[in-house]
Formats: sequence, C-alpha cells, structure tokens
Amino acid sequence: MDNRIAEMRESLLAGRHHALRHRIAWNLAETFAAQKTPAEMRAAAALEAVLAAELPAFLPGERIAFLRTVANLPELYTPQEWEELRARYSFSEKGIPFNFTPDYASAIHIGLDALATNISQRIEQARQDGDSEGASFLAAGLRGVQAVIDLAERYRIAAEKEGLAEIAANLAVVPRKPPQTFLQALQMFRILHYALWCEGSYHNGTGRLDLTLWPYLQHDLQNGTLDRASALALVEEFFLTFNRDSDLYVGVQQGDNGQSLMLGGCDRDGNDVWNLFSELALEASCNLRLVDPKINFRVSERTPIERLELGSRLTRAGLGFPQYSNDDVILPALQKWGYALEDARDYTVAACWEFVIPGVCHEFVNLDAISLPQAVLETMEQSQAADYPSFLHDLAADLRSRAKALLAHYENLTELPGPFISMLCPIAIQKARNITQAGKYHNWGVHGTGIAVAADSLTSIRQLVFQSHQLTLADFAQICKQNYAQHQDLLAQVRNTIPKLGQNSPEADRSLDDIVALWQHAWDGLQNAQGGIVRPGTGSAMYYIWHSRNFPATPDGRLQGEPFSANYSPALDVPVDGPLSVIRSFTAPPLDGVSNGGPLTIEIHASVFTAPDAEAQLAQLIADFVRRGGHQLQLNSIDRDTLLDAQKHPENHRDLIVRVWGWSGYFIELDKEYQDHIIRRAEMTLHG
Amino acid sequence: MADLEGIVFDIREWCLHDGPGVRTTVFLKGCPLRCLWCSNPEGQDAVPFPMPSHDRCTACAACQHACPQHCIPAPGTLPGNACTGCGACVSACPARRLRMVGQRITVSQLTERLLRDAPLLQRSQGGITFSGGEPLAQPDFLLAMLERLSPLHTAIETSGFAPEKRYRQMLDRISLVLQDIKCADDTLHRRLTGVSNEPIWRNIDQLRNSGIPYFIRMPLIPGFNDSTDDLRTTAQRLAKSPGNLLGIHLLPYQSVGSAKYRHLRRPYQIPHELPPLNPDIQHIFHDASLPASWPFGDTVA
Repeated sequence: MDNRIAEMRESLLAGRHHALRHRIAWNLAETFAAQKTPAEMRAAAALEAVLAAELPAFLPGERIAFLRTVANLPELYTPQEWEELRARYSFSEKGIPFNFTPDYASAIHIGLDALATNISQRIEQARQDGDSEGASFLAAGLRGVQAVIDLAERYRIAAEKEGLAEIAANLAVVPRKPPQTFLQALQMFRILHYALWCEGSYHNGTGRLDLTLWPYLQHDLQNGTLDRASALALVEEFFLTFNRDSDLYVGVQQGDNGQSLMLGGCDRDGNDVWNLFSELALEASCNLRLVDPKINFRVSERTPIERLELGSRLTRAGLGFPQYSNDDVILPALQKWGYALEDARDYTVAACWEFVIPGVCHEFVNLDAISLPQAVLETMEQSQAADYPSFLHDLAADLRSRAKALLAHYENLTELPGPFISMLCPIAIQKARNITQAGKYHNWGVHGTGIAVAADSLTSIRQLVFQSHQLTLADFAQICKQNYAQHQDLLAQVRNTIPKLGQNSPEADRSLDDIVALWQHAWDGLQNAQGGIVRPGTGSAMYYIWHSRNFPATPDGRLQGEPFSANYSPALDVPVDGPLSVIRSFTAPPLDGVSNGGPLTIEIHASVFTAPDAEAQLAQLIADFVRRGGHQLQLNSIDRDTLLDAQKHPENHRDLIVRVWGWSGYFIELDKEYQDHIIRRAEMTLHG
Repeated sequence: MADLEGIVFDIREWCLHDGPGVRTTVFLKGCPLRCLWCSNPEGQDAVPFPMPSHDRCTACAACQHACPQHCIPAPGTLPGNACTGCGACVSACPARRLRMVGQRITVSQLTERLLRDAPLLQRSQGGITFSGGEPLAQPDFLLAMLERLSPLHTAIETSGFAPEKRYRQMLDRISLVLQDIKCADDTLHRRLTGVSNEPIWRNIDQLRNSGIPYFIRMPLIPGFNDSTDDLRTTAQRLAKSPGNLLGIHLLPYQSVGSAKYRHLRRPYQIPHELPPLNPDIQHIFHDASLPASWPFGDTVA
C-alpha cells in the first residue's frame, strides 16, 4: 500500500467525507400516491431525483470518483399504501431487489449509450407488440440509465473545474462508452454499483470480478501502461470505494451489506478462472484490512495448493474471509436443482453465502428460515414413536408441514420493481420485465437454523429414549421445556457423555446425516408460488440469534435462550477434538441437496499464525475439506482477549474486524448480543 | 504381544508448531521435570485427575456427590489424594466445568485414532508428534506406538531426561527429534527444573551421533536462563559436533500456563514483570556457527 492509498484509507476510516453529505426531506411518496404513479415509474423518478440531488464531490488523492452525498433515500409508498400492499402481498424483507448480483459486464462491455440504444429499440418492439406494460417498464429503466449518464456528465464538468484532469478524461469515456483502460473499467463499475444503491437495491454483490475486469487489466498490462505494482494500487483504490458509503448500507447489523466478490472457479465454458486480478484482489484485501469487499473464492479438487496458500494469507489478516465454496459440490447441486450447466458454472454468492447465477435471474435465496431444533422439540412432544426410525419419520412429517406452511405464507410473494438494476440484466431487457419475473430461474432459498443443536439432540434422543430407555420422548421434551430444572443429573449426562459433532464420533455424525437428509427431503416435489423449487440451505443468517432467543432448552444440553451456533458449525460450548474432526463431522453427509449456502465455520486462534508455515498448513486443511465433499468453508482468525478488550475499550479497537454470520464487520459496531456470541465462539478456538 | 496401555492427556489435531507439515500431537502424561515455567503443569503427574477448566462453577456440588472416594473437598475443586481418576465427577458436572486430564488408552486404540488422518498427514509431509509431559516417561508405550505408526513421519518433543537405553531405543524408531535444552549449568538446571541435566547431555550426545535429524528447542525466560555465559556454554557444546542438527529454535516465554496453576492451586513462580530478554541470544549461536532462529516470533507474550 503506497502513501496515497494509506492516506485515503485513513481518511475513510476517520469518516472525514461524511461532512460532504446532506439529508433531504423527501416527499415523493405522497406525490406518487396522489398521482397513482405506477411502481416502475416511482422507482425511476426516485432514482432520477436522488441522482439529481447528488453533488459531485472528490476525495483528496482519488483517481476513481463517485461518492454518496445524499445520505437518505426517498420512500416510494406512503405508510397507508404499504399497509395495503402488505395486506395483498407478502414480501421478502423490504420488498425491493436485494441479495442480488446483476450482469455488470453486460453494461461495461458496451457502455451506457449502447445500452440506452438497445433499450430504446426494445421499447419500440414492445410497443409494436402491444406490450404496454413492458414498454413502460423499459422506459423506467431507460430513465435510470439516462440519469446515471447525466450525473456522470456533471461529475466530469466538476472534475474539469477542479483541475482533476485524469478523472475528467475518464468520465469523458465512461460510463457512456466502453472503457479503454483498466482504470476506466474500475470507474465504470464504481458508477454502476453506486447507482444500484441509489435506486434502493441493497446487498448488491459484485459478482465475478476476475472475469468482468480481467480483459481490461490484461490489455493495460500487455500495452505496458500498467505493471503489477501500479495495477495493485488501482485495485486497492477500487476496494476503498466499497467502503466510502458502506455506513449508509445498513443491514441487520452494520457491515451486513452484501458487497461480496467472487474469485476463481471456472467460466461458462468450464475453463479455469485465475489471473492477476484474482491475485491482486487477495493482496489488496490483505493490505487494506477493511470489511469491504468481502472475498469469496471458488475452489475444487483441482485448485493448485499455491492458490489456497494465497487465500490463507488473507485469512491470516483476520478479516474472516476469503470464504471458500467447493465447485465439486456446488456445480452438481445447482444442476440437480435444474440450472443449466453453463449457468451453474457462472455461480457467485448473493451477499453472504447463497449461491446465485449473476444477471440471469433474481431469486429469493434468503427468503426465510426454519428452526430445526424447534422441529425436533415439537416432534418430541407429539410423537408416539417406539423406535428411532419411527421418530425420524415423525420428524420428517413435521418438517414437511413446516415447509408447506412456509410456502403458503409466501403464496402472494412479490417484489417491487428495480428498473435500473434490471437494465444490467440482458434477459430483463429482452423480456421487458423486472428481473425477478424475467429471470430464467425462480427458486427460493430457505435456511435451516440450529443444525448442530438439532443433530446433537437427535443423538441424545436416540441413546436415551430408544437405546437405554432411560426416559420417554414426552418426559424428555417436558424436561427441556422446564430448562432441566430438577434434572441437573440428566443435563450433566447429555452434556458430558453423549457424543457431539466435532468429537470424532460416528454416532454423532450419523445424526447430522439424519437431519441433513430430513431437511433436504422436506422440500421434495414442492413448488413455490413462482413455479420454482425451494433450495434448502445450511446457513443461519441472523436467525441463529432470533430463533434461539427464549427458545427452550434442547436435548443436547443447550439451556433456554442460549444461542445456536451460526450456520453449519459445531454447537457452542462443545469441546471439539480439532479441525480435522470438525471437518470430518460436517462433511459426513452428502451436501448437494442442502447447498443453498451456509458455511462450516472454523475459528482459529490468531496465535496459530506464529507458525512459519501456517499458511501452507491452512491450505492443506482447506484442501482436505474440499476433498471430503464440504460445500462452503469460512475460516476466522480471532483472539478472545482482544475481543474482550474491545468490548471494554472500543476506542482502542476501531479497526478490529470480525466475521459475524456471512459477512465481516467492525466488532465495535455490533450489538452486544452479536459481540457476545463471537466471544463465546472464540472460547472454542483451535490453537493448532 | 499384550496391548499396552498408556495415559494420554491430550490429542491435538492440526498442530503447526511441532514439526513439519500437518501434525497430530499426542501429549503423554507424566514428567520427571518440574520446570518453573511449564505450560502444561497438568501433564506432570503420571496419573489422570479431574481439573476445573472454566470459571463457571455453579457450586451445585454434583461432583462431590458423584465422587465414590468422597475426596473432593468443596464443589469444583481439585480432588484429594484418594482420587482414582475414575472420572465420575467430570461426568456429573452439569456446567461442563471439569475436564479429565489423562485417559487410559491402548496402543491399538491410539493407533487407530491417529491413523484415521494418515492420508492428510502424509500429503502435507506431516505426521505424528509425541509431546507431554515427557513422552519417555512412558517408554514402553511410546516405543510400541512408534513401531505401530511406522511408516508415518514421527517426531518427539522431549526433555531428554531418560535412561540412555530408552532414549537410544526411541532414536531407533523416530524420524525427527525436537530436543529441549533449558540451560548448560547443572546447578541452575536443578534449580529451574528440579533435576540434573547430566543425563540430558548424555542423551544429546547419543542424538548427535545417531544421524537422526533434530532441532534444539530452548524456552528462554528472561532473567532465568538467558545469561550470555550460560548460552555461550550451550552453544560451544553443541557446536563441537552438531550431527544432523537442523536448527535451534529459540522459543519466547509464554505465560499461558499461569491460569492453569491457579486452577491447580499451585504457585506460579515466574513473576508477572520480567526484565528484558537478553538481546544477544541469536548472535551467541550464530557466533558458534549454529543456525538459531525465533521461528514462532520473539515476542514475550
């Protein structure tokens, strides 16, 4: 990191640019309501208004422009309208496009002028076809494209006035024309990504940047205008841009903003993807040590160990990424779910870890979650099973009914249009519809929360109820509901003598196999309201906290209100044998039926990295995970003492980054509940 | 041959500080030394016993009630001398506060457990390391294990305080030795560890003559064993005929053991505040043409 980048980084972290922001007292919704403005035109008018209100601003030293100066976005509907909408429809989260990665390359490679021409021609076609709905939608999209061009022009003029010749020259090319240099490509990406947030879309993934941006970098390397060092500085500055406005992108917690980037894997034809951009991305992230963009890395049995070592170097930096996904599992899983091979090969992650195909569809991959421990506990109360297989049968029926109830709840699922984001998806232009409708696939993703607690509970039930006949299902359920009161001996027994996941126990691992199979098959043959299927996953999102709050004790010895582990990981407070045993347990079941996303998370104590060859050995661990058929892996390097000190003295730990559930954030910005969960996870770190 | 039983107090997977590649390290219980700074004091006694492992005791007294020997004086405390290591108290603790330090395990059982990961260990050019305690304090068990684990790469982390015959038998079976040296001066050694270092140096002589690759490991505690004179003596003795010496690992003092002493209700004799470490250590060894380094960092934790 050179001085210029270091100073820009410091300035960003200090938030000096926040002084350039202003808030606007928007009242568009009232006007829209009064005029009964159609949904797509509301989105278009709002984007125009936001971009028109933007004031071109430049940060000292920058070469890639565009900064959010409008701090707040307008509402598109009045509270009363929202009430009516929610009475008629169900929505996923805010009801607008999110958790989504468009096809940035489709616009970057041709430029916005050509894109606008394409859209105009398609509007004409729609009119000729009598498709007024389509024509109106495309017209809304076109307004967005034009508004982006207009703002870029105002930026260009301002840059010229301020003597920022390079920025002005670049903006004379992009976004209207295709970029001619790597820097222009970065500038264009920045503009598009920035505009998506201005339209209101959130959790906007960046997609596969070593595919999108490599041709431009390659070009500049070949003609000698860039070398490795100057390219690295550009990638570093580009990565800084993802942190300029990220404090405005609030998710459930600060940092949960979905700016995820994918490296590696293969292209649509199956060719290996790995180039200098991939390497520079890992290096830039390692140097910058910022929460955005969050790096993901597609690997397979064929990935050279040296690449995994590069990834391990970034893990060592303690940012909680890269997160790995295993193509050997994910590609077949996606194909099994009906994705065409070339689409499957193009997968990326939506925001945290849900696998999506960029640009060709917008699926609700983070729709909702089902608590697996709740299913276990409630089945215990109802079931008359005389043996373990019968109990599993009853549990399967319970999960099936939960699956159906969830689908019924979302029978009227809809989404408000994102015309601009749709214009970055050629299929949406072609079909003249919002990407959600126009997309090639319409599958939904549902998380299964508390999978380790559920699996460990099954082991307790099998051993105590059906093998030793120590107590009945109903009694066990009752004891759980009473939080093991008066049954401390049983609590000790289940905690200390029943094997758990991660403890080198085939008996415990068998239970994971059982619950994974039940979770997968609960969705067999069910169709969602859009005509797609449901993809069950092993992620938890924030539900590991939400579902466990006030939830009764469980047969694995977890007490009332104690949190579940995040995602696909050993239960909290369970002493595991080590990372090899954890990987064995969590790769025991076939995972290609539950691959919506949701990583095995392994916490490694920061002191491990004092070993000189730690990166090489971490690479071996990742390779072992891949070879064993794991689907997704998240490795965190943390130190409990540092976390505790940060809780006490946040002022000394401004830069401390931690992985939360599928994203990394600044520790001191998290709610205490999430901080405490990470500290509990840190107690179980592996020392190596 | 009878399936020998040994006492193991930990098996750690993916150990990165105990030899090359990915390794599983087995900690054998029992040690004849009492190093003042020992970071595994729970491994010193030869027998298994329950140890409080977290500060979450609810004082429910389940451990006391469960103990067949009635030898736990108060809830969540260490047992008295009558403890047989049966583990009843550990199983009875609803708060998961107790941990059994040491389990009896046969050669066959341990071999099966360790060979489970053999492909990964071999792929990474790693293997198995025996540590402790002092692995040579259970010589028959150790030697039987080394026989059974062949041809996996095996390493031992040893104080070298063992009968010469046992040490030689170990050398016949081992791939790599991580040989500790605490200090050169025997009087100082007795004060720091409770035993003479003469048998250790005799075994180091065997090691250098064996041709077996080895590292010397030196835990350096500022003010205790980092004097220039003593280190120079060590360097000179090693330099005379280093044999297959791969390097000297200088290990910074880690205070991680002190919390365990509290749980064990034993005084920890290394003061909190230490003088600065002798800055010349690496030079002393380099002056003797010995390859010394701080492979795990030189920060005093």
